[in-house]
Amino acid sequence: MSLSDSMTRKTKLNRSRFGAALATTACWLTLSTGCGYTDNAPDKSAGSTGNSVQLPYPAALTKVPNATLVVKLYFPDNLEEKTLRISDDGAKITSDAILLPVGTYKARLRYYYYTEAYGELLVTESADQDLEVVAGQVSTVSFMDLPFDFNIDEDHDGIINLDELKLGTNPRVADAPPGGSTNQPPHADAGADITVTAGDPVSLSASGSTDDGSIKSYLWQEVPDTGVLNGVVTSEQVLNFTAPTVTADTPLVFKLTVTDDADVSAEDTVTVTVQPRANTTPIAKAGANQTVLEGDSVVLDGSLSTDSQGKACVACTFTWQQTAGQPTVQLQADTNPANAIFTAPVVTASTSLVFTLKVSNAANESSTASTTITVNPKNKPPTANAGPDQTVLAGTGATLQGSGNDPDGSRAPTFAWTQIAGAPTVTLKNANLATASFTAPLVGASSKLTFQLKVTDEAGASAFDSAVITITPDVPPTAIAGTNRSVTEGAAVTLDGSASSDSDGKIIAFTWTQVSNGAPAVNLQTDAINPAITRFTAPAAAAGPFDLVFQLVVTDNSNVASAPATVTITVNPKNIPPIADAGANRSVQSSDAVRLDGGYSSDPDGVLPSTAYQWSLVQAPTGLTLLNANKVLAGFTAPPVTKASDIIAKLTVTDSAGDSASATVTVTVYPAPPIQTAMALNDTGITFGGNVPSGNNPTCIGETINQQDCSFGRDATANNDADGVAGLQFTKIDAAGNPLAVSAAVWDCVNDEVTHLMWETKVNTNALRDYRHSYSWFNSTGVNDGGNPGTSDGTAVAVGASCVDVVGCNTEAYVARVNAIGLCGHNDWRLPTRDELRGIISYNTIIDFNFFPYTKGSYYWTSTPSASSGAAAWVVSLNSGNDYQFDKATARYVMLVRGP
Amino acid sequence: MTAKHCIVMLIWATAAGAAGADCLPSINATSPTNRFTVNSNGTATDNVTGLVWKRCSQGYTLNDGGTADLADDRCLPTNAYDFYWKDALLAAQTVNATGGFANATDWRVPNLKELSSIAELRCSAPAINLTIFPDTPPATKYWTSSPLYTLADTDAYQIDFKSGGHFLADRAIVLAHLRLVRGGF
Repeated sequence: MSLSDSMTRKTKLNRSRFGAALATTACWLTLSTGCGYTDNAPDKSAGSTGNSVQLPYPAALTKVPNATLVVKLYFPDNLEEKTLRISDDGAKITSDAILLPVGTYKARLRYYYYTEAYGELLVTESADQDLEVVAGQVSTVSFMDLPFDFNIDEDHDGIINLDELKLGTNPRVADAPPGGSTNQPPHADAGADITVTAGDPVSLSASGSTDDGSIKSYLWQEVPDTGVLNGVVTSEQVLNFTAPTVTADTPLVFKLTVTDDADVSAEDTVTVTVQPRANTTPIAKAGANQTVLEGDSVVLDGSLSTDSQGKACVACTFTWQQTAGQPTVQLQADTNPANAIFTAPVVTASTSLVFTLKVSNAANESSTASTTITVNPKNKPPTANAGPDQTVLAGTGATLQGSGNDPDGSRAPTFAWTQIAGAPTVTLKNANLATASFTAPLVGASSKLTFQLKVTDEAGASAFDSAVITITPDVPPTAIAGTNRSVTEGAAVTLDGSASSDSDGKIIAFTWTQVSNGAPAVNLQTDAINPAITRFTAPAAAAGPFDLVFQLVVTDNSNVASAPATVTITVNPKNIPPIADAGANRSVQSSDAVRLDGGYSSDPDGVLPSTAYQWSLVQAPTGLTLLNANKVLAGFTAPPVTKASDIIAKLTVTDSAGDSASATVTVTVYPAPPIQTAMALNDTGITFGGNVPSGNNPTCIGETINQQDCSFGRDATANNDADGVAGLQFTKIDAAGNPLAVSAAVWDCVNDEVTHLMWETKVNTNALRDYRHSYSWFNSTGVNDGGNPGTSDGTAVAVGASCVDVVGCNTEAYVARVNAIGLCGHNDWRLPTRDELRGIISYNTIIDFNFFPYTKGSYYWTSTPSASSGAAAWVVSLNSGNDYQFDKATARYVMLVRGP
Repeated sequence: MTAKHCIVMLIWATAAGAAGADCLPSINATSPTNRFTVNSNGTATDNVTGLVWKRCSQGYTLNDGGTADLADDRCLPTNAYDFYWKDALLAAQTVNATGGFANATDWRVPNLKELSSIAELRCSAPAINLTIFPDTPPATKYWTSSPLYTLADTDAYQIDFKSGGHFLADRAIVLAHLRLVRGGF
């Protein structure tokens, strides 16, 4: 189709719709712009044809390659559409002749793209405007702010004459002058028969027609008329129409009438077989459901919609409409006409909006499809707060007091603590809770640890915050175990570590242990309330005191232990009361100094102090007082008594522990013995001096001789062997007691002139006083017997005594017999005391045989009992001069004495 | 008397004197207190024998206890009190040579009979009158001036005041106490 062709083409109005008024009101209508297009202003002068106008070309329209812009005038009241012609550059438009009855019509401009592939596609349209058709007047209507003039002129002379209007007739052609030569009938050629599909544009051309002159006009008619051409008489060379919708192959016959300039006509027909088109309704596809967030730009994608053949629906009209859901959104056009755009509204909860796409094709066939856009509210991120920075003591518990909030969550956010900096790395407890904790590690120096809190809401949004925990080193606590002390076995002992301290915290644990030192192990019992205190029972200390050593270690709240402290508990045995010993009972004589000696008292578990002693008299004569009654050695002087009297003294001793004991001692005071008469001692008879280390000298010389025995006494001053050896001086006495001369041959006794003792001399006559007689010691008087009277029957002893004229051969009987006979005129004979007997001995020659010729070199009884053994009495050997204590029940010799 | 007591007594023998002797009233006193005149100069006069004795053994010093009462008289060791026989003889000589004692310079070592005469045989351990001779150890021997008569013998006599009997001891080997005497009838 060329532009020139288009400019001569005529569109026939649908006669069926306008038929009633056509006869009187139909007129040719040309289209022109009102203003702004002066160079193309409608030529209203006669002879001007093809009034052209500049159509409003919507700025929004994009020129589509290979597409032709088609502009149509649409009458919505009767759904008729008339095509306007557009210049090649799209800037100009010319009208076909439009036959309109006089009247007022609503009209709008529609813009289509036309492509070979998709046909016409509605792009946009103007608003409706009133078009008033008045016979003989120019009707003006404005489209899109651009006024168009519709000139109705039957013959281009500016006069409207409805009667002159003829279909398909170009008035100007009609007004052309006729030709002058012989006319030949024209040849009409409608073209070959064709077969088309319903809806297809059909173009029938009469171009094959010929004439010898010129063809004045063409007239296309459908015969029979099925309404395909809407009753419009098309006088163009080319007939264009759209194949009507059919249900089966339908032949349409069009008759072409060609009239030449001599008004000679010829006819031809062409058959257009219209085949039904399969479903041509486009397929609307609204795109997949979408879930978007509020505020999102949402594209409603209809681009997958197709024509009925599944091809892009070029000529389709896309209409989006919200069909459900609130709020109602404002849909915006997209560059892709299939799409629509809107901004997801703000919602408080997930909201579904339903949009329906209606796709209509040129045939106004349409389908719909819906898509659901679920608009979700945007998540609001949570907040995180890791809490303040802190400083904590090593070893103590640190708490990370975090918090977090999710402003739009339906449930609490989650928490996650992590250590992100600092050493050492600690183990967090409850790291997934808002409040986490850890034990501050023991550090040597201040250490900063950084912990991050991550708060995550249910939508996965997170917030972070961190806190710095400064760990300060711990100062170890100080253990104080208490002071050393002593306790008694069995005592309940309390060890108290309460004085222990921690300068930078508090003590949380006390550990008492016993230090092994060989002492018994004790069972420490920690106090149920005060952990600083532990107790034990002091073990037995029977073997003596020992030390228990205990160690205390305290631990502070940083779990740092102290240096150990020790305390020593000395366990002493239980005090054992002292033992009072007042000494043995004893006998003394009046005037004897009695020493009360408490020194045998003792304290089994200690030493009695000097102040331990207190003496008192329990029984004593009035006026007797104690000397040094508060000392270990007290004393008194035995008072005068007439008979044996007991004085009882009591000693109380008190040990250092305050325990005391008492004892008494009985001192039996006997009357003092008769005062002895003076009696000089005999000298020893030693006239020689001794040497050191050994040896004696015949005379008085030797070691420190001036201190030796021989230098003193009668042996030195009155040495006369004639009257007795050395210093001894004896006198012989006859039976009547008269002294005899030294030379006397017979004598019975000897008087010691120094001691004035008279001695019996023994005989060898086998009579009473025979020197060979022996006796047992016997004293039945109860006095001076040593508590043992001895043996009355000397003959019965082991080596039996033998004697004459003495019953029992005992000393007492012998003394009695001698006294009975009145030896030497005396009857006070007795056994000599030990020292009396010793007195007549010369410790050189022993017995002076000049005076004691019959003497056994053996043991002689004395009257002196042994103080060591009641069974014994002293004897003196007249062989050596030495003294011994012999059993009274032995047979010994006897030499009696009397005096002085 | 137990062994333990014996040990204690030995300690006292050197420290504080004898606590007391076992004395039997059934034995006549051989050295009764009334036989002596106790002098205020540390001596006691035996009125029977006329001997004047130092109340304390040589090397001990009398402490009369601050009273006239004999009951608190003590003989406390102040000097060496154990002697060999020779040293005992020399000790007596030294006393006399160095100012004497109790205004006397004729102190001597007693002979056997003299020393034996103050043995209190009613008592034992010691067999002595502790009123007159305080703190005499209970089992101690005292030298006499009497050498053993046997020619060339090495011994001299001692009195063993445990029993009051004689004892023979080597002059140069055995240590013993010494009690000085002077005078005598």
